[in-house]
Amino acid sequence: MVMKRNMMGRNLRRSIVNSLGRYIAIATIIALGTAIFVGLRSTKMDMVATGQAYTDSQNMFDLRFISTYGWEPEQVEEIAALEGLEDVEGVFYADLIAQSEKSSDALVYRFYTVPESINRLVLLEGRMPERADECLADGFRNDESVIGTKVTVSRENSDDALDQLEQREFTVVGLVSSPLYMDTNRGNTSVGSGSIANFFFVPADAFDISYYTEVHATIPGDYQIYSQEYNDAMEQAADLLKPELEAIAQARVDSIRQDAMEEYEDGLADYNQAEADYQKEKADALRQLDEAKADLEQAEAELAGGQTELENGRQQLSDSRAQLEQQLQAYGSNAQLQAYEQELNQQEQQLIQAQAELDENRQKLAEGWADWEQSKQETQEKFSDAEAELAEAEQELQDAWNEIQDIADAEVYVLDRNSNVGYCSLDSNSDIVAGVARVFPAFFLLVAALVCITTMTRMVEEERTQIGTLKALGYGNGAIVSKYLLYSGSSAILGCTMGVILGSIVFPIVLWQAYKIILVVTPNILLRFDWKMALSVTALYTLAMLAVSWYCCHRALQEVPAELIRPKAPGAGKKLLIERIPLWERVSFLNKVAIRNIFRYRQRLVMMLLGIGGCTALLMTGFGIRDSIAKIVDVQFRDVTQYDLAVNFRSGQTERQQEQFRKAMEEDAEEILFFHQVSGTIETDSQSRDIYIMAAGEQIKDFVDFHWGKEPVALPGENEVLLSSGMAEILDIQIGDTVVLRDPDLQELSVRVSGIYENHIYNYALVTPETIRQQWGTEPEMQSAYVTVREGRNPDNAGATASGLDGVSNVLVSQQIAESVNGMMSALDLVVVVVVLCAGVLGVIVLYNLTNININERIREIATIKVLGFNARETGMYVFKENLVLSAFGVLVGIPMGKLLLEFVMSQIKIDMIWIKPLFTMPSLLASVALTICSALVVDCLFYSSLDRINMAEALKSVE
Amino acid sequence: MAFVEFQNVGKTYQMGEVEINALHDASFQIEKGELAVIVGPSGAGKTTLLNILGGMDTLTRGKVLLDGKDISAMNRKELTLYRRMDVGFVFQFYNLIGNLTALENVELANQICKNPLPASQVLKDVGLEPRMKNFPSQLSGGEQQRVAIARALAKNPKLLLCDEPTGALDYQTGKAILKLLQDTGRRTGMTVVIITHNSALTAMADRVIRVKNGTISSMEQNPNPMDISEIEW
Repeated sequence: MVMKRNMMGRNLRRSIVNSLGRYIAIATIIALGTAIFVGLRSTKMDMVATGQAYTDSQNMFDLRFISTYGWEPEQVEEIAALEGLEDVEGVFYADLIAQSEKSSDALVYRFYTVPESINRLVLLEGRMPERADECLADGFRNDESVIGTKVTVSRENSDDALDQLEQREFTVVGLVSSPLYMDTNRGNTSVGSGSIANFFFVPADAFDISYYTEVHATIPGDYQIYSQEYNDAMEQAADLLKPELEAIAQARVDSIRQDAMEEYEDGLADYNQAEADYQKEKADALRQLDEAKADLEQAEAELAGGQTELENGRQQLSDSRAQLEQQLQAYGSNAQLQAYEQELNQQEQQLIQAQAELDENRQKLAEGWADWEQSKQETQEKFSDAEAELAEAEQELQDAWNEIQDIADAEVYVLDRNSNVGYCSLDSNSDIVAGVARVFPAFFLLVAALVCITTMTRMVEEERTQIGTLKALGYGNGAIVSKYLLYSGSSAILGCTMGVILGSIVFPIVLWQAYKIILVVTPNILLRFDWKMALSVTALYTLAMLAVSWYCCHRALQEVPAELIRPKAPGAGKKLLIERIPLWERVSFLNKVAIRNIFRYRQRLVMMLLGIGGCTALLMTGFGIRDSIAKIVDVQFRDVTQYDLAVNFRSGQTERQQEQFRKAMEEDAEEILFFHQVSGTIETDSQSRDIYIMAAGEQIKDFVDFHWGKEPVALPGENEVLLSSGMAEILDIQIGDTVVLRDPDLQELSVRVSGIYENHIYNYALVTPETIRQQWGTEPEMQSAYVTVREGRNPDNAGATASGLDGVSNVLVSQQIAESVNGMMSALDLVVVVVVLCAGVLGVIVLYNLTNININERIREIATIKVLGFNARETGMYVFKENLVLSAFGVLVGIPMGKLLLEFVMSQIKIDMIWIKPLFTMPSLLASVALTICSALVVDCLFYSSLDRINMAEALKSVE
Repeated sequence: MAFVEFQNVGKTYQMGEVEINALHDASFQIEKGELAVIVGPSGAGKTTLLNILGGMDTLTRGKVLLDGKDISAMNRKELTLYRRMDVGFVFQFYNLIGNLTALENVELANQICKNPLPASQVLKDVGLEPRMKNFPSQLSGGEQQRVAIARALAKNPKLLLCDEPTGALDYQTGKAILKLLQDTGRRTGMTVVIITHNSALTAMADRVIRVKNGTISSMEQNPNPMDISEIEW
């Protein structure tokens, strides 16, 4: 027994050594199949695991809370006290224009404060900042040389922004990566050019923070990232937290409103006081003026009285003087008279004096009037000034009142990680890998089984005599079969082991290197080993190989030893159908031989077509994946999206607001269309999906090109909807179906699908405003706008302008989206390289195996024709012509196969909101064909020299 | 000078560290138009001799001439040409191409040489006219060997080399084949070399060359070769 097993073992070993090429071919094709399957599956698994480890170790946020008013430190504390949250941290950032010594232009950077517990940074180089004027830079976009350089915040920033800053200049002291930025996307802003060049992290004391921009929080519990379970848990937590957060945010709004109200009331009181004071002052002043006037008038009257008296006195004096003259004339001068004259003179003197006095008083009075007039003037001026002031104060109060009325309620957004572009990017990229992985296992298993069938059939045929001898010696069928089972089984296990090792180590590492172009997670991918997958793949392949081998031996073992020992009758030559065609006689001789040989071995024909066709198909798939995904951007932004900016407003825009927007954008915008857009759901009888519901008029045609293939698609009519292709495909909706659109307020639109148009990014359902008016009875709210930018104007700048306008909530610049998506494509190239390599190896192995068997089978034939005097080239052509013809057929079979395969792969790669249309370009098709033919030629060249080595003496040997 | 001339031919195979002297000091001549039988037991060196004469193998020492051409000095390319133009082979196991008809097997050979005989004519000559369109598997052993002979003859070679042509055939069929070879040689004046272990065949030969232990043990001319039908074994 021991002896027997030993000899059989030796026999097996020698068989393996003698046919090492075949043995290795089986092992290699299995290794390839396993490696691709395990490799791509592991890569997906490892990418997610790496993401998981990264987000765990850096304590990435689970939820983030945004309030339209920001969060004050006290509010953050209140949030931290909420149930269901683990860590809570206020996040502060500001988008600032700054000049880095490393770049020639001033760019917009997002300055974050260094986080403490959530979204912790990974320090790649240098050290953490210790002083307020030190900062950390992005390790992905910079190398060590940036350490020590300065970043200066520009004066161009708004005063508000500058006021928050304690520092204007920062020195880079370290390089970091942040879990907030797992891909290369750095986001958009309303500052400057509109796109954020990069981020910096600065110490908290670099800013004068009165409120936080966002609050990040983690949720207790271990979840698998990207899992449904995790998403559900986050959604649930968000639903629970939202009302409480709204309450906290609203409290701040209320206090703002109350403060404003108090201030207003104070103002109003002051105003009223001032008004009262003014009235009183005015009355006083008027009274004083009146009094002064009365005084003056009295003085005037007195003055007039004095004058009259004076006139009387003067009359008396002149009467007295006349009497005196008469008396003097009559009586002459005497003492009495003289004394009288004296007296008169005296009196006159007095009168003159009184007159002088009067004149003086009159003078004074005139002055008094002048003074009065002046003070009257002055007072009046004072009054009008005061009145103007009061009116102004009143206006201010009115404004303040309006402002208070305008204080909006706080809007709170609770967002999960799916709002983080980098986080999603890792997921969708790993999904592409997984999608590709889904295609190959069955295909490679089939090819491996075929390779195994041909090899084992050949081997059993070669060893017929041996089998017969063993049987004649009395070995049982089991012992004989076990050799072949061990042969194929061991090569399957060897292949699977190589494949699993290659797949679970090399694939993830290589693909991760490629993804590092677009993903910023950790430098090394975490390698996980999935025993279950490895064992099940190995079991599957091994069982398949064993089954195939058993099948091959089975037939031989049915025969009796005597038959087996005798050489098997050579395969009968047969006339082919095509030989009945008269043209057959004119086919050149070697071609006849080739054609007959092709059809002589049908098994091989099938395998060749499958192998070569598969090679072409895989190549086409590889190139097709790249073409299709790469073209999404081109096609979307060249053929479909015609607008440059998509603007969303905080609320529906009135005619007047629309007009204001148009005016503000006049310089940049060529055309602007306001329309209704909400994110709602579309429902068929069985399913529902998220979709953007749009209502727009005829003019939308200038902004979006609705077409299917080369045919334009008509706009929907009343109660009709135009659907984007992605949604139609997912829900399997046909033109003419009726669907229900539901907006966030649960209002329904029941509409008939009038058309489906090609659209690659996001999903839209377009209806007419009429439909909404009719079914809802309300006017659709115009809170979105498309803008086309004038020729020569920069869409980025136009986007930034629009972002800064009142009421605008966000602006998407088509060009920026296109650029960021295009960046993703570079990583796909490596995926394509992997697929292409695998396809090449597949082609070479299949051809190698077949040619090897073919040549071994026909050694006598080849030796004979060599003896007959065929030279090397002729011998080569004799053997390889059929290879080349079959390769050509294989390619022809492969092209439709490739098309189907690509469609299948594309249907497996489901990226949210993206519709990928399988697409081939001519160069890709040509490259696939050329590479297939090349691998066929490579194999033929490999065997060319081995043909040369075939010993002609083989022709003399007896049939085995 | 003789038509075929072996001068002190030696062939040593290097099998790993062991040297095997398959042939040494072999000298003989065959005249044009003769039917020569090279006879010897298994392992005597017959096949080596055939390989060398047929241009399928090179020799280690000595010289081989055919019709004045030095075969031993030829390179691979010249040897190929030599096999193509000058030698016709008949194998023990016929070595017909399985998926070519009898006619096509003959054409296979005459397509590549300069002055071939018409394939159908040659097949007619070997008595296979009615089976020309048959595949080898549809032919008996003797018929297959006739096809093989026709294939060799169609090339119109200078030398017809037959390696145990009756080895796989029954007695009667073998005789018929030998007859065909003898008649062909006589009719066309072609030099025919038959290699066999069956010494009974020496009776039909014009010249008998005996091989033993890797060298020529004797060479004799047979002035009165017997007709095949008279030979028994």
